[in-house]
Amino acid sequence: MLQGITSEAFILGCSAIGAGLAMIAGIGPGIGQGHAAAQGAAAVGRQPEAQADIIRTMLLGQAVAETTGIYGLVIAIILLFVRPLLTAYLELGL
Amino acid sequence: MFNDHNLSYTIIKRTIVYTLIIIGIILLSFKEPKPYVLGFVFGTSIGILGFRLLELTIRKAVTMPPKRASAYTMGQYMIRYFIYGIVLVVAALADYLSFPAAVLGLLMIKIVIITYAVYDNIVSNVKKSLDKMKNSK
Repeated sequence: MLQGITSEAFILGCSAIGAGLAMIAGIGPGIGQGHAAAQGAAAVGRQPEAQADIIRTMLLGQAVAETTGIYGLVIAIILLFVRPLLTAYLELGL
Repeated sequence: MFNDHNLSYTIIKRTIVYTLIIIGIILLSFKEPKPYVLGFVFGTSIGILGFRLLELTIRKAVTMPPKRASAYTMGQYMIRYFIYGIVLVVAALADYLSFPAAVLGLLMIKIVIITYAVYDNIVSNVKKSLDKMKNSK
């Protein structure tokens, strides 16, 4: 089944699958941010005078929580566009 | 930490100061600093704009009903994520931009938030221990 596929194409295909898997990391912060926003909105509904404090806490928390999504994105883009695995394979000269 | 009224402006100001310091270090330590500086400025500017977008999103979301706020925030996150993706792809493909510098620039806002939280904690702990020492004397 794999006879017609060159090693370079195989590495590129595996890199693309890896990039797709890395992009899953981007879903988590989205769900988390949505959940935090829903809880924040409910908290403001219960205690409107604490709105400034809630916004401040949410802003700092969500800004830091986004980082993990960016890590996944960086890994995916490195695999797709910088192609370190293909470069390493070509440098080995097998 | 961060007791100021305009929290986001404080963080953005601090990020710009950090950025200028790092650009100075890059200019002094690299032989050809142009791609690094451009990549870093590109990443930082998009990071700052993303942070401002996050602030506007949160300010709007807390006035909505919880279910709508959740969906709205997730949608806005996906838009920001897409923008970050475009920035990173451009930085990876363009020769005149350094990819690691662009990534570092994107993460500058987070670095500023974490460093100042740690810094403020250390300062408050030192103040508390100094007060204890004064009271014990």
